[in-house]
Amino acid sequence: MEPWERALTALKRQEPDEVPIVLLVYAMVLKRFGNVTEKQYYMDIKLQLEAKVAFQRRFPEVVNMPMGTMPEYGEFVGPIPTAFGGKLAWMEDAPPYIAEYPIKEPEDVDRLAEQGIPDPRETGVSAEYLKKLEYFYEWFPRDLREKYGYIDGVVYPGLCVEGAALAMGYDKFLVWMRDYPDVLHKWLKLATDWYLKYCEAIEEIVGKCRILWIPDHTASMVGKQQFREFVLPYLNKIFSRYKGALRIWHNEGRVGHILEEVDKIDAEVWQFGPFDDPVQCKQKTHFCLQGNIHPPWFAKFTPSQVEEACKSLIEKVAEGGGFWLSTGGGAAPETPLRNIEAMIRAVKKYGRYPLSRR
Amino acid sequence: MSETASLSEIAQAIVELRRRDEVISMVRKKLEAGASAREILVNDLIPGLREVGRKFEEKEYFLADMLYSAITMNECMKVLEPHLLKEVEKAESAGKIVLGTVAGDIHDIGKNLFATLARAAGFEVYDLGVDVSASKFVEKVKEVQPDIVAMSALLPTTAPYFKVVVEELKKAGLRDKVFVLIGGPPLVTAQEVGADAYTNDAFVGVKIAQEYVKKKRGAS
Repeated sequence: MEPWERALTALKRQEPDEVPIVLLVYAMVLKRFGNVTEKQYYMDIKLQLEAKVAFQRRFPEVVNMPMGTMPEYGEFVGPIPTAFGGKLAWMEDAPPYIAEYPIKEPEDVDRLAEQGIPDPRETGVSAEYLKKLEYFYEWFPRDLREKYGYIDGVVYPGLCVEGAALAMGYDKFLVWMRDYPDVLHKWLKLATDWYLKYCEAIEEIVGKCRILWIPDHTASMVGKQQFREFVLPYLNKIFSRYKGALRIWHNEGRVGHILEEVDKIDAEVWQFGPFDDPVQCKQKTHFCLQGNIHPPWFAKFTPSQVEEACKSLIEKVAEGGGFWLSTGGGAAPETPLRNIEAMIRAVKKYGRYPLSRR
Repeated sequence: MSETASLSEIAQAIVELRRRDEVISMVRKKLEAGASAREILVNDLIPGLREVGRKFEEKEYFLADMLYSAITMNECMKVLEPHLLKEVEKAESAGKIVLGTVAGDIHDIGKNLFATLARAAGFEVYDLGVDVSASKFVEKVKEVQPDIVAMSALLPTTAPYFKVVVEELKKAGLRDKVFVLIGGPPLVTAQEVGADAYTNDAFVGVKIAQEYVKKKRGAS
């Protein structure tokens, strides 16, 4: 079985030949390929493409979705805030951040609503990102597209509800849930309307959406009631638009307190974090789980510790499919590549279906 | 009897996450009625926030709730501060803390919460903000001679910077003069970066700071 076929089989809660490995390896690790700082990596689209292809050739058993196939340029935090006038700041050797929020007072939401929905092709990070995506689409190797399901139809629009939160700062976002709920709803509607337009602009480059990858950690910041009111409807507004595609929700934050609510997210896969119990997550939700070895541990572990951690996880949740072995979140900066080799080894030793009970 | 039932009216309002203007108005009324700022701080605000912290610990409350109560507390402190300054002129400070989120990291929710709680506990807090370089920490330590240097980081990329600050403190001959407390998610241990203590809980952080100052003063 090819790696992506393996992942798709597990997705259907069927057992493939072995446990799929689907990682999230990006700038923090891949910059080492070019021996450059993170900022230099973000600014060099050709280097990014070469690094991603080199990583894939080095680890043919691993799917690196979506970071193995997408350019990186503040695309995680930047699209929504910068589309509405926010400013992105670059750091020399760390991911960029939102340095200036477009929303400071409740009145700003009215002002932005009056201005209408900006064109993602023309404003902010999304405009730059779409140009870089075109470059990737033109030059990404054909064999990797076919073997790993890369780039064609892969839509990765960055943070969703959390992107809206970053247009005002997390603290305001959380406080306005109590102080100005109507204003917040108005903003979330506007932001997610823009987000849908951005998804469409991405589709114009990569083709009809086959895979939608949405990172969003807001569920981990709120209780049940607030999740129901301010997070779920807006996340599902996006996910539900893409029924039929493979939809992946990335949130490695803790959500054990609202598992039954999280289960209502209209996606097929959940990349979950190291602080939620994998067994509970599998039993209480419909998702195919992707995770959940703690990335800093994965970076510090010896290869034999990695093998042990993978073995334990496989034993807990891999039976019957519905599981992609991964880290709980993106790979940490100092992750040694030998630990990825150890993960692959662990699957060969302990992850071949049918799983033997030890 | 539940913990909440024994709380004052203001503390209850904080725990129930009532709107900030309502809580502030209750604080003003109590001041006007003759209560001292210190009384309000000790009997109302701190117990209220502590109860919110307990609910957070027990996963009944979440970050949004914790943050809301911390902001309410902050705004009440603005009302109390001028009164407190007069009242505490003669009182002893609980200690001095130099605080900041380390270079490369701009996350400040945990740091701000710690600052609020530490101020409420009587510490003089010198908050350097976010993205703070080692040289800024060192400079401030030289200037104010704190008891404690408290640093925060959220990211795996920035947590190693704790060690850079500790090394710079050593080079400046200041490391032995301060207690180094680090906070954030469990990315590194205190031992790994040469700090004295680690916590991922602002309340516990303040408790550690109090215990250290108590021990230090007891020893001197």
